[in-house]
Amino acid sequence: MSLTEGREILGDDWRVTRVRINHQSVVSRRKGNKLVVYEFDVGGFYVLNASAQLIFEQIDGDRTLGQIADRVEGLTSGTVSKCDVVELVSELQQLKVILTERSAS
Amino acid sequence: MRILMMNPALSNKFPNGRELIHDVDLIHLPMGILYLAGVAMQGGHDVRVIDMPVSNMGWTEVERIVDEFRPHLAGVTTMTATFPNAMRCARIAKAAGARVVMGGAHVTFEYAEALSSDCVDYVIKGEGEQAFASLLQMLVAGQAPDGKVSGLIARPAQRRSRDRLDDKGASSFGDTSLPKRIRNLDSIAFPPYDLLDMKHYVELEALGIHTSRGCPYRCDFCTIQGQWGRQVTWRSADEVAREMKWLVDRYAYRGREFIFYDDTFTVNRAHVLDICDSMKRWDVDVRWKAMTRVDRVDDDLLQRMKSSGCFRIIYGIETTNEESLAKCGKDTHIRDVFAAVRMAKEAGLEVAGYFIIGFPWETRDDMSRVIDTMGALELDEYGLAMLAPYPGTPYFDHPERFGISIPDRDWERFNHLLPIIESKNFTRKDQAEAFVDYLCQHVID
Repeated sequence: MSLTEGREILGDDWRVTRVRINHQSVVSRRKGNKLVVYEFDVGGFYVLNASAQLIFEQIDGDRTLGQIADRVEGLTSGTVSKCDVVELVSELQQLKVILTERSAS
Repeated sequence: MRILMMNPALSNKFPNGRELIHDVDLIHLPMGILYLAGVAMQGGHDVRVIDMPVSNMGWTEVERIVDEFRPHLAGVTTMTATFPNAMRCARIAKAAGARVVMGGAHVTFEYAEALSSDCVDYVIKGEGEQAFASLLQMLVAGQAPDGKVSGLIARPAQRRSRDRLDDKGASSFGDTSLPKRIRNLDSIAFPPYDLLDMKHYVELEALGIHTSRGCPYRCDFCTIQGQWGRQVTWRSADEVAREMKWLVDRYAYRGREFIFYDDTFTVNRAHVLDICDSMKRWDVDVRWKAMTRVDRVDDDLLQRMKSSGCFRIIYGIETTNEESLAKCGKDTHIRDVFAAVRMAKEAGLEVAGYFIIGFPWETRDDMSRVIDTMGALELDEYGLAMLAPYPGTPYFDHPERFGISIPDRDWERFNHLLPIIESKNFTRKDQAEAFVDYLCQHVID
């Protein structure tokens, strides 16, 4: 998925989109350097690599996607780009692992 | 008649990431409809088989085949999780003018649901060969099923979903009892494998074959006793070996792998030994594995299985909780589990064990203990399912007795990989958490 496609899914205002994990139907566990994510409503098992795990762990329910993207880019000195963040979040949103809502601010 | 046998696709609610789960293959030879295809061919009918899962067949292709073949009769098999897709197969066949008969585990119990649709004309309960043969004879003769064929239930045009079983088990569908079992399974012809594109199946890990039907035990989580009764019937060992030899020669399968799909392969010790001997006599050069109970093996049996090509035994262990083993009707003991695993290892066999969490009386802590302690068995492969309260089991029929609720009757969820039941002891999320703990401890490196 490209950044453009990710933006289309999340909308033009992706930077101010607030994201949160769908705790009602998502369980995650760390195994070594992997993160196992299980969505048990729609149904899906995912094993996140280190980069995806870092992004996933920034989703605290308060931060907007823009804040998360900036933060991850900073933490990884640009190794993980904003594009990567939007791509993963778009994918996880489609899989019902995370929920998004436009931030009021 | 032109007869189309259909095995519907697995639901799209089978979770992504199935490769993480070691499971008895969900994609395998569709033996049920293949045996019935053999019955139809013996009656001189023109038969085709659609097996959607193995070729990942889409609905457009199904519609194309139906339009091209224009079947007079479509036979659709269904498990609980594939029921919605089975109904879609039925709709497609009905739209092309076919009569539709449905069979398999799910409609053996939920026949009223299937027959509430105008797309399904008949349901066959339990073992299907005799009822299917009778249905074909009646259709050829232009007769309507008269309600006197054991195991065959018809939907008169005026019947709709309000026709339900009453409290006493009587029914407006007439006789809904299970059919009499076929005592001599050798009387059934070999499945007509050539109706399938066998290249798909020889690429799978193993070819499956049955040597018996049924199980005498009474495990509450299992539908077998409701579907077949508790009588076990057998094929002769020579017939089993002859079929295996035929498959090996026909599809260049020498040295490859078979799995015996019998519900409890070693329930008849003498029969297993006969099969081992027959495989040697017929020079069936394959490796094989089988599923059984921990209390139906011994050192000598396992060693003789090994010497005839068995490389793996799959035990239905279910749980490491002694209380659960008793309460769920399994009637085995933890000491049996450890002894059976030890004996298999000493015989040089790989050992796989399948477990269940989510028994109604379990707590979240109980689930954790099961997952923690299964590691002590040092198995070569683990499998874990979340309890699915299948129709035909006491958990489905009388949830109140077990203090459980089944909030969601979306059949596609009945796949062991999605939590379904809730009890006063645990939530669906509790089961999901335990399941991920299991993945982390026993599956993901």
